[in-house]
Amino acid sequence: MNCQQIDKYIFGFCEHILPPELESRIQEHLEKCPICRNKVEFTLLENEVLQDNTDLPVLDASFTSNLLNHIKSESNTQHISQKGGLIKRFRIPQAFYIPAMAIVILLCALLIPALSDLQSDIKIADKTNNSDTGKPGTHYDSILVDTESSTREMQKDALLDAGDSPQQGQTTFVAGTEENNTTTPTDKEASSPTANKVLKSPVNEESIDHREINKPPEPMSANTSTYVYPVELPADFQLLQIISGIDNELNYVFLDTSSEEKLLINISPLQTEALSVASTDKTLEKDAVNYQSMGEAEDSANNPVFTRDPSPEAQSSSLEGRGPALSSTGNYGNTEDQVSALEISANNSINWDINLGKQYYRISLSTDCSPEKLAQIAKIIEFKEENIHE
Amino acid sequence: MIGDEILAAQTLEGDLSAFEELVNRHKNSVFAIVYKMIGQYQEAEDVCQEVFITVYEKLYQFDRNKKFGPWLHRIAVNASISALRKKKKVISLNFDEAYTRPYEPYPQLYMTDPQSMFEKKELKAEINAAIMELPENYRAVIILRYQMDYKNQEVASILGVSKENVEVRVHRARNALRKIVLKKWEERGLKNELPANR
Repeated sequence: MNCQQIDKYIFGFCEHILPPELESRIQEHLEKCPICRNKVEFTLLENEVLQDNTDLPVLDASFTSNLLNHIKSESNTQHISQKGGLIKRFRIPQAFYIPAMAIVILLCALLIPALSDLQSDIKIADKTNNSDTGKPGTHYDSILVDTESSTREMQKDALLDAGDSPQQGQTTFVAGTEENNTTTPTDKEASSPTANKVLKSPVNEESIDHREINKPPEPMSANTSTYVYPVELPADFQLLQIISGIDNELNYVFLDTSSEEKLLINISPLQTEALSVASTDKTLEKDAVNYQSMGEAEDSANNPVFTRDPSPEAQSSSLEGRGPALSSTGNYGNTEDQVSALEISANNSINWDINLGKQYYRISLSTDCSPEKLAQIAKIIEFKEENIHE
Repeated sequence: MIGDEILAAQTLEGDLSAFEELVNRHKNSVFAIVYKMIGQYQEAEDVCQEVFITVYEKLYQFDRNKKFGPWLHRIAVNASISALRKKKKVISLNFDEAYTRPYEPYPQLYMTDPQSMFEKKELKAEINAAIMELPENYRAVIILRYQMDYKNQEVASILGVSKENVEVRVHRARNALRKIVLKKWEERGLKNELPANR
């Protein structure tokens, strides 16, 4: 046994927890080594000091009572039990309060603008409903009415798009003259799926009569728009485009599928307010004279004169200066009665005026086909006026 | 005499007098641990109160098949270490303050030789000051092993470590303690007067 081994076992030796054999060997070394004896003596003194609790202060006598009073006061607010301990264990740490509040504020900031947008949309729908019907409606009704308005907008777009991208077999109706400054037509048929199909998609050429434009829908409100459209065209003619011009002027472009020739029908309303019955008669009479004179002049120039072959009564009424017969709104006008004057121009165009209801229109047929054919078209073509009520 | 475990069960049933009995039985031992760990009376008293409040709140976690004392002292050690770590963030420990309280020290030493009493008194002060300089885990081992007179196995169960780990810790803590004491005596020029150097 050497001094290093004594250092290893010295604490156990002083506590008398070493095996007897090891303890006797240490004792033998201590008898020979005074340094290790001093170490053991110091260790024993350390142990004595460490185990000495005589200098420990004592708690105040009121410690227990103070503690129990504290526990009782705590128990009044929270019952301490196993269940209470579980509840306390699942308390949210304060470190999570700030991130949680930040998340809540962020969600509010994201959701509140979305809700306000939704409310503004509902208010807009309400306004649309009230302006259309003049009566307050529910939100559901507002949405329905707004949907119809959207459908009307789609119809208008289709009408305008027809001039840009013509489609064979596509038919539609357009606004001619308008009353009460209303330009947006609305009706049940226009908003119906069938009407949309006619307006938006190409139609089988063999399944429809291209001579007649679709009938405008039934009126729904006091606001009225008037439309004029050609009917009774030959079956070979297909509508290519409808182009609305200035002053409610309408241009219908048809294609003769048999000869690939185009026919332009221009319908422009006349200012009836400026025309009295007498002046209208004069104008028509003048037109008739012009027709006669032009016809004679063109005849001499080997340009054939074309006439719609009006009936003797109509022709005589035109030549005698009678005004066009007034027809009620919504009825088909008799072509012979409607034609007050007929002009045949040298560039294969025919112009004449018609009267539908209370409105006069200037009709102009232009084509690149033969004059004979143009005259034949002008003979059979008729026009129809419909009032569209919103 | 009713066992601690039965008193704990009665406390869980709402009997506050049973808990009062538990406090009276263990308050001195708990305070001894806390005071040795912290070194200041008032703070040790506050921590001691926290220990018993924690015991009252966590009593449902106590395993009745085990002894109540080690479980209680484990809470006391952990509470003391937590208090020391909080205190380190505020101010440094003042050892002189801890031992300037006017208590009645060394009553048994009065009966011995004055020279021996003086040496032990000086050594005791040095050792207590050195204990406060030990790391917390060494301090806890020294207190439990020598102050509370627990066996190595009991210390191991209290600290939640193995018995071998406790033995190693005790050995290292004693060596560290001796180094601190010798260093202080050397600084005072009293190294030659140490009992080990005589």
